Amino acid sequence: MKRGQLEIIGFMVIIILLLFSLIFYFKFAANDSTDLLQEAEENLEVSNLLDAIKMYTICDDTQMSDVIKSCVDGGNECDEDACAIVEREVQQIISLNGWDNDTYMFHIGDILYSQGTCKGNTFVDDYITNGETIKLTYCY
Amino acid sequence: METLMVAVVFMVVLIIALAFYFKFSLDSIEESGEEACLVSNTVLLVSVSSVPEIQCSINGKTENCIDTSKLIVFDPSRVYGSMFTTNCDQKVYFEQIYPEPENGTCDQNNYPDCGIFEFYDPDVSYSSSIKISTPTSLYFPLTEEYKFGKLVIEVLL
Repeated sequence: MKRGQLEIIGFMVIIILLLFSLIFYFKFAANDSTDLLQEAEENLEVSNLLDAIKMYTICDDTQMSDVIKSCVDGGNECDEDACAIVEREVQQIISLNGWDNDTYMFHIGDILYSQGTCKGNTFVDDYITNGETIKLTYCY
Repeated sequence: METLMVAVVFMVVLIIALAFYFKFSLDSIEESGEEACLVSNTVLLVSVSSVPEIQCSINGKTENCIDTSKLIVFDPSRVYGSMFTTNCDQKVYFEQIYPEPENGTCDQNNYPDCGIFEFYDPDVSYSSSIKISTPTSLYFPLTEEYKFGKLVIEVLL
């Protein structure tokens, strides 16, 4: 085989290797959509969870939103200290939702009503009642 | 003769390269299909919660919860069939989580002493499934109670 022909074969092999490299690069480079989807789901989860917590019925005609208002005013609901109910029931609901204690924070104003604190990236949803901000934070 | 040999080698290598390329393309297309399926089902998590026929409505004002008495009788396939004809099959149901409910799928006979409210079931065979869910509030008008539940979409594979 002539030298020129050998060189052409070598050149052709290099071109094919470059082609494979490009295929692999584009295959693994375009994975952002999965991360965005996960973030959208978690954002929706935080928002829906806070709404579900607010609406949860504690006792006759008393929803968690009413109990939270009473907690802000330092009162009682359902024959019990409102803040104790908030701390207990919010933890129970969030635990049943599948979140660990160190992955979320529930604040009424500046006061934390969950077991642990967390840091890092967060998804947050909140609303205001009786002048206080009720905030659910999910850390990931 | 040598030129012919070069041409033959070139063709063989090209065919092998094309075979690999098409294999990877096919895998990539399948992966895109699976991603499109997950994206459409994530959108469904929002759409199903907003179906007006099952949303809570008290004195004409809608609330962000699901009325279980409406859920029991509503058949979404008649009106919202196109919502579920995406590129993959899925089962959709609401599940009461807290307080812990009685076991069983809800119907007009055992409501409200049940835990699962089926919304849509394509009744197809499947080998495995992926579940995605979002929290929701379930309203029981008979007792005027709001309970904690989840909207579950089980993507059938």
